[in-house]
Amino acid sequence: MPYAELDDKELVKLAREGREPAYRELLSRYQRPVFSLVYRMVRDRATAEDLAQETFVRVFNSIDTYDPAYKFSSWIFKIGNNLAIDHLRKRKLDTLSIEGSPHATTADQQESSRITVEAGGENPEQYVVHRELGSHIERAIGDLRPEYRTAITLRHVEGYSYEEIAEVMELPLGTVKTYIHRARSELKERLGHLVE
Amino acid sequence: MKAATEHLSDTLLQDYAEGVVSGAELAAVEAHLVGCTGCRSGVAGWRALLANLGELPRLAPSAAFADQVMARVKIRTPLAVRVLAWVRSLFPFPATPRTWALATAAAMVPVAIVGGAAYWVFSYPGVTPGNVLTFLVWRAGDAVGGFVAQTTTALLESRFVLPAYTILEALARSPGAAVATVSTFSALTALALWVLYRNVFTARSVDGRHAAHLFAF
Ligand SMILES: [Zn+2]
Repeated sequence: MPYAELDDKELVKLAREGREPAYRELLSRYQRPVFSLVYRMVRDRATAEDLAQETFVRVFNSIDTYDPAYKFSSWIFKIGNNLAIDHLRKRKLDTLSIEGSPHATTADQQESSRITVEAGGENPEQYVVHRELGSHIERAIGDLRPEYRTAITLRHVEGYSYEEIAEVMELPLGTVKTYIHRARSELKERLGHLVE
Repeated sequence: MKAATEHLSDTLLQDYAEGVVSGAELAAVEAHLVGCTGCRSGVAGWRALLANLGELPRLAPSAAFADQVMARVKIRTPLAVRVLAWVRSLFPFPATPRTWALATAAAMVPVAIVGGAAYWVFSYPGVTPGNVLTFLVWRAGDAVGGFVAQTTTALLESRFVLPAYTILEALARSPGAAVATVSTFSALTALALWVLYRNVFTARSVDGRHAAHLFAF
């Protein structure tokens, strides 16, 4: 059966019937989009692989609950995005508890210790991140709020409409538009001298 | 005319640069841009940023990604597909045209024998398909009737009937024991059904190690 010619909903139907090639086709369609989104969110290759893998496992193991009224891609992005946001939230809590240590008293000391930790031996993982997400625009996206990162990635990498982004992020349309406009304003401010 | 001297909002410039402005709004934006170099350079700035954003690549996970995912996915196979697979696994189905030919030849041997026997029987005058059918129906009815009668007799004479009756009588006299017995049996039945459900009707790992979690709860 030419699985590559089927649309997502037909593939989901076949996956529900237990056809492994249907799962494989969905994977080949969405592993890059999902990984790209999650990677840009967490900015760490190994973590992004884990989260993207978890996304597919969750989606495939609950394929019976998929509602065909929605796009399959929106569903998988929604789960991937939620996992990435949860991860960032947990990481933020960890960072806060480290920064609250009595060794760093001033903001400057905190900053310098943080930089020391980051510069302390660049492992191959960090090298890859530098190569892949090291461009000015990728770093500027990395500095955005996580919600802005999601919206910008879906809009400009995936070419999603505002309505589709609203569905993935479970936000009102107006909020999504505001996020995208503000995110682009921040990017322009940071990259102003480069893009013009 | 006062509105024309007010500059366009940043949001509107972004939308215009992206090409998502239409209708009367588009006409108004274009009319303003004709006479305003400031807003025109604003649009150029947004176009440059959008061009950069449009070049952002999709990034690929490692080559092992798909396999790692599939190793953790439980593929739910419908009962019909599973029964068919089970039947197939019981018989060594031919895989090549050569083995198919051999299997067909082997299957033809009994067909030929039965066909030859039938030809031999019906070649006798007086033996017709109708006669044979009547004979077979009579013999089959006899066999079924005999089986039912024998089973009933065996059951009634069985040495299990009396103890079973005694137990039922005891239970009828003591409601507590009856409730306890019924509950225990219900729980055991539910447990058995659950094991059956887990191991036969629901998912089984694609890695094929289903024997490992047989009777796993
Ligand atoms: Zn203007």
